[in-house]
Amino acid sequence: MEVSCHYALERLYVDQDRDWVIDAVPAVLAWVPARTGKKAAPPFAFALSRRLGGPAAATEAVSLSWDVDALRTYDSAVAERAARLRDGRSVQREHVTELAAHGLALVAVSILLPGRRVVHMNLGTAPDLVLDLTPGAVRGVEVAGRSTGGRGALRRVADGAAATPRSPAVAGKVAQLRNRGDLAEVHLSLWCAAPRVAVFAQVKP
Amino acid sequence: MSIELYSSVLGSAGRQKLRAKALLAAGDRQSRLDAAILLHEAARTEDRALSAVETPDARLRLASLVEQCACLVEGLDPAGAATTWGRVLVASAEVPSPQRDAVRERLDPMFGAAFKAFRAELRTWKTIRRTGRLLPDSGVDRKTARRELEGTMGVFPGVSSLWYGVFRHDSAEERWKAAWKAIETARRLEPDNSRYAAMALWIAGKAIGEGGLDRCLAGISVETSGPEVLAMYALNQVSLAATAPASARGGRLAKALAAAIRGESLAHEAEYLRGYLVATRLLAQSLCQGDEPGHELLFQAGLGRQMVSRGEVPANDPVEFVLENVASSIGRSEELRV
Repeated sequence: MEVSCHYALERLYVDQDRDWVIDAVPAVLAWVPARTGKKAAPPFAFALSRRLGGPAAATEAVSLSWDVDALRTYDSAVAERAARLRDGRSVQREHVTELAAHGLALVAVSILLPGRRVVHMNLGTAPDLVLDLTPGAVRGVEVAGRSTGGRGALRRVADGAAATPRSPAVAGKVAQLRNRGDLAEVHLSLWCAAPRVAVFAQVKP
Repeated sequence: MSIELYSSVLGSAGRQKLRAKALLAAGDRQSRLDAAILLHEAARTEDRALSAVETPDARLRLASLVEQCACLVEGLDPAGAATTWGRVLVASAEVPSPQRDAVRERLDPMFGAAFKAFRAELRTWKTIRRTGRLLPDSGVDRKTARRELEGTMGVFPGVSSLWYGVFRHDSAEERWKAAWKAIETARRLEPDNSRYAAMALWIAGKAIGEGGLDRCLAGISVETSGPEVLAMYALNQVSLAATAPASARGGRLAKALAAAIRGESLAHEAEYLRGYLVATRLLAQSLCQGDEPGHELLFQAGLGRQMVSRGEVPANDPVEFVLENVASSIGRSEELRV
């Protein structure tokens, strides 16, 4: 798998609205290097698939790097905020994964949907990141992150999972998004930190 | 409907949500409160954006209400979310099943879990449930009730009525600075609550001094305020007029009278205050005419029973009597909402 794309995180402050980026970048810094036990300095390569399903080999590598000094020019406290999140001094640590996934989705939009910008964010309804707010024809990106589990975990997010004796059935995001008549275009942006795999696929239309 | 208008009203809500998520991830007490305040503002913005759409279709209405409810759940306010949840259920009836389920897929488990957790938390309230009061009468019960309130507030800092409960405790114990902080937090969570605004006016002079009270009064819009705020506004203007230089006295009394007249005209929105609203207008009118009002005005306003039951009437200060009774009436009425 060759690196097909390299992205310097400091570009994100220009590619997307700074207000979105400033709260997501510290989580990316805290979350992406974590848990692998291997190399803990950028660049970090994610094996990215553009299709749901299909062979694991059909991936491209997206390399993500950052220069903390360059990031500081956009957000002077970025490293300190990342350190606090990394150290887990929080009872709400699940938000770090969520936030980092949002940051990486912003990266994916910047790389894979060049020129398009996030204009809104949803909390209770899909898609998480909105590119076009037109009522009845919303366009956006649904986001999810998993700390571990690799492609299997991401597939369960996309396709859902049947009920087991220990857990109820989980509805897949793809089916839910396709059921929504008010969405004109949706992409799924799924990220896993260990191993570093990702999916960015258009599920609608 | 204008998409530009819709988008511009929705404006900052998305950014507030992401900022709130970052604060929740930081996890400390203050960050969680700040996140809750941002998410409450985001919910209000979503509501305003929906109002900007002239004829929203059923799907848009449902999606917006789901979003508002989710903001309140994530904003650690299951009590507020429960109210919006009712609107979600009503709007759901107009959207066919597969789409309705898809829109609510994320919210239903979120709300269910928050509602259950909040109910479980309220079941730990032994003293408040036994006495039926956030602010019980006995000192021992008050201490326990306060601990119960603060315990729940630590878990759900987005519930404005919990902050209001703490305000009631602090003001009863004349800890005015702490009471001010609590009522201001309740107001930041629910700025449209007329009763919180009125109670803030009640203690402003005690907590932040006459200058602070004056700044608060200057920020009040008589045209858009509710009857509780108008009564407090008028009574405070009257109080300040008593010590104001002669040149400023007339202006304050005129403002008091205008607010009192408007307040009385809105008495149907606050029947429990009707007598006090009438009394406020009579007091302001009398002072504007240069008279020295006595407590017979209070009888004229229909407050005879309250004067008997209170046992004592400040002989020369009917303004103080009305002010304290308005505060006490608002205090009790708001408490019942928790």
